Amino acid sequence: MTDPIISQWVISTQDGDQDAFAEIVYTFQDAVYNLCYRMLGESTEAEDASQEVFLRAYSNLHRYDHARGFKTWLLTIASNHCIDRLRKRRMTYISIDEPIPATLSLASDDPLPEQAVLLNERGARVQKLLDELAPDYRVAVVLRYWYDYSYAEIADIMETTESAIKSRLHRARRILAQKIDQRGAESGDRVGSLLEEG
Amino acid sequence: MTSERKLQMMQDALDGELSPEAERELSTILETDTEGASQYNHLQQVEQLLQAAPHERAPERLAVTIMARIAQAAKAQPQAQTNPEITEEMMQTAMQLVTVAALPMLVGAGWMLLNAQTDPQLLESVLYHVSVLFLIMMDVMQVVIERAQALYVDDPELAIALLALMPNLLLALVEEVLGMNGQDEES
Repeated sequence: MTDPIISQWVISTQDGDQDAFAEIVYTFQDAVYNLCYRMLGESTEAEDASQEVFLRAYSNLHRYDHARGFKTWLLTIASNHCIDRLRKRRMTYISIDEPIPATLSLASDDPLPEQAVLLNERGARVQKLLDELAPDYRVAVVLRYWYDYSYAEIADIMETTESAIKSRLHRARRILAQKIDQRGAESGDRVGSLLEEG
Repeated sequence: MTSERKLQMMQDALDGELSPEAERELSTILETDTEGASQYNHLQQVEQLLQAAPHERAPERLAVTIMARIAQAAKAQPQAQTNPEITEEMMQTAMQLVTVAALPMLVGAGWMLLNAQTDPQLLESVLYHVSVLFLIMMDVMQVVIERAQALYVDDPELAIALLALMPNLLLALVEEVLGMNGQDEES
């Protein structure tokens, strides 16, 4: 069920009030942008994708069901749009049998004292791990860990079954664990260093 | 216990869906299973890494850019709404009607050429006038079609109205040429 204020913004937008849609954009821009960034891994493309998501939402507002959460509906549009973009990009995913390139290493010998820098560094490294997942797995991981959605909610967003989502998330965790395992074997067991740094 | 079952228990533990009894069972197993313990350790590290990942904030210009694009789209929308029946298909139909309207002129030109075949001088004159007529017709049609295409973006109805005038323009042109022809004959 959508917040009554958001429902009112949606209705006002449909009546031609663009300021109401501006409220929607300001409220959800971070959520949409973060999803696009985590899915696409690049800020310029994430910004472009976020614009498209809001434009699509604006032109499809008449299809929005007020019984459904607005954020969920918006993130469904964002997820589908990002998956489409990734498919068009024809990315070649790194096989789990291949060694991780040096740039994907989670360990770092450089001292990084500032917390902001550490956060950026951690974010970038998590991103490089995420980039190795297929789009369907990646979106499930992002919705689970960045948005705290339940399996049922993710299934709703991705228009599939709860068991399919659970299977994807478990498989994604295993792939990422294998990556971390490989990295640990290559660089000495310093996997935990990244977590300890924060 | 199979490795798949063990792995499922690890995943359930990370999801917080493992019963206390099953959790104790898993702990007991991992005490003696070093490979399984290492696997669980890596899964836990993935869990912690993802849970601690930062959120990316949208750039400040994002909302402004979105609203500017929406304002642009909204500006273009009313025009489309006032002309909902105007489609590319209708434009093509209008062009086909113009072609049909030009057909009698082609037939007329053919008739004149056939009848002038017995007189070389007349045939030369008819050929000259028919050629001039068709060259002018092609020029006029090209100009009208170009104008209609340009107008179609801003005002599709006006573009189709312009195309609808084409038969009248062509008729006036033929009358003008025939009139010249009559003057020539008189002279």
